[in-house]
Amino acid sequence: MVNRFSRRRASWRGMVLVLVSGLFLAACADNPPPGDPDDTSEGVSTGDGDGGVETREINERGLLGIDEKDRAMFVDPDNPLSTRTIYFEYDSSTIQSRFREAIQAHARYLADHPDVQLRLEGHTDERATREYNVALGERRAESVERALSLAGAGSDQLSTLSFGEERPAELGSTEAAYAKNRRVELIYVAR
Amino acid sequence: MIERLVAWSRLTVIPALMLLAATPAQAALEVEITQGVSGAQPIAIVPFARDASVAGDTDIAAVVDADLERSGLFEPLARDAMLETPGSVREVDYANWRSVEVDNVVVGRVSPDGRGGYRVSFDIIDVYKGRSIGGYEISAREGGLRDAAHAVANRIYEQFTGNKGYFLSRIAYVAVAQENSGPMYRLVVADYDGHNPQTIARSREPILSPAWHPAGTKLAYVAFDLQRGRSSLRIQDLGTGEVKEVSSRPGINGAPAWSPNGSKLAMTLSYRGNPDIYTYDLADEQVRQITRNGAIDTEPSWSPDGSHIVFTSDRGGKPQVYRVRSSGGNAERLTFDGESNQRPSYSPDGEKIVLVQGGNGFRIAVLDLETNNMRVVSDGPLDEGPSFAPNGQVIIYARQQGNSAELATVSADGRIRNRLRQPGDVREPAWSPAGY
Repeated sequence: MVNRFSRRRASWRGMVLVLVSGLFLAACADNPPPGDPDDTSEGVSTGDGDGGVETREINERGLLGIDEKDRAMFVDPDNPLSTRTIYFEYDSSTIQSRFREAIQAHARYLADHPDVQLRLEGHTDERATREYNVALGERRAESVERALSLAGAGSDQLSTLSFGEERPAELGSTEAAYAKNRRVELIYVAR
Repeated sequence: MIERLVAWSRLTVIPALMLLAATPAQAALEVEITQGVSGAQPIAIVPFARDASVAGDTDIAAVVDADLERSGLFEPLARDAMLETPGSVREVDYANWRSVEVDNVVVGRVSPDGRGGYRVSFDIIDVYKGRSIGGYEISAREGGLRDAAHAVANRIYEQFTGNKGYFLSRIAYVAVAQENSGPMYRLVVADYDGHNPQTIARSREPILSPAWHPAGTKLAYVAFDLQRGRSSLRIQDLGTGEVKEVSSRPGINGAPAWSPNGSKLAMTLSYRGNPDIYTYDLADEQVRQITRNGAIDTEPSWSPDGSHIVFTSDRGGKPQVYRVRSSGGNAERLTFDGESNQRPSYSPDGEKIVLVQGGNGFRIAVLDLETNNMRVVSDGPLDEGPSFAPNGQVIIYARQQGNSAELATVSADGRIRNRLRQPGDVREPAWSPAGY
């Protein structure tokens, strides 16, 4: 938590400097987290249609709560722990069977690491109204929370937060964008 | 990560450059009339005479012209078609106006009131009767001539339509700019026509659901705090800038709606495991659960008499609009037309509900509670966030299009449409109460 806070403040200061001096100045982190040498994203999803941003964001912000020595597992595509976004059908909060293995793996990791905290961030596509979508995103997050809990994660290790349609992974009004936006992101938060 | 900006009432006395430093340049909304109504009332607003000592360059008649034209109910005569520009009733030559087929002419004058402000006097003239049918005087403080012009337009509007004008009301909306480091969300309050925009809060995280206190003095809205991993329902005083956090429970803290007397907020909370409607008493800070249902219940809105709350629920499968007594009890389904109906809010007279109807796209629709007739008033495909003007005659809403959104207005009968454009993404409009 402390770590993230100082990074954010550093970025703000960087922004002000850019504005004031008119120079191009990357926002430097005072205290970059280990294995994260040149972070300038400050954990904000830019939603600019670049899938790379989404990946970077979930790999950086989403792993702050994971011990450095364990991080490789979470980015190894052959490890089910690398699946940290659960996608949903339209207006649905039912978890599809293809995510069962990933849910089991995360639940097992949480059970083995009772100090680790996981936040489930729920999102929707842009259709339907904003507050309804906040509720739908919450329901998706709760559905993943319940599945993790049933699979052995401690309920005190889990929390939910819904952004509704406000933080799309991909902008645009296409089916492809909608499918990427209906999701729950697994964010391992620093204590 | 919400920053509270300078109280907006104080912004008016801050030199322009400092204001820019505090609130990055906020372009004003630009109004474009996209669909008018045939048979609008012809009227001529003659440029107001002004004493040489009157400072500033506010063209009162031009502001009145724009207000009346935007309402769609009037057809103001172009200045270059005027054969004369009288400054008082005595100077009017009625033949000049009959020849251009104008029924009514407004003439006026601005003069100093001797106390640092101004006196705006005007007459509404009936050309065929050949006399004034109403003479009025409005006092304006220094720098207040634009508001005085809106007050003139309100008077004219009421004279001919019988309804209160809404030209002194304000709107709140959320503007989102994509910056290099990510999106920046701003909560903006502006005059109803988009002039005088003031950023009252900004955040790197989403801002949602601004709702006006019935006295127009405060806004409730939803913000996010990633440090705590919580959403946060807040009340910000527009005069002092003071922010009070009302709820930041686990799960949803959303969809604030003020009770008509301002003593309570209805909201959506999910800390007990499911999104339900609650009311929060601002005096004793107690919450009370109003709906209890395994489905999503959200988007509450109070009836103008405070007796009921309408809300969205998917308890029947798809989201539809329901009504419950504001003290709780059984909910009754109100909408049956359309695949889905969401985000209801009452008209000021309590006789209608405006909502978002889903089917092939999302459109704004008005449900008449007396006849149960539903009228779709917008074209879609992704319209949302409707809100009635304080006089109930006009609805403001947001049109989403691809990567951006703009605000639009439509008359409650669907006939008159305007767009309020601004570069970037503008959404979640809320029309202030009163402002007559």
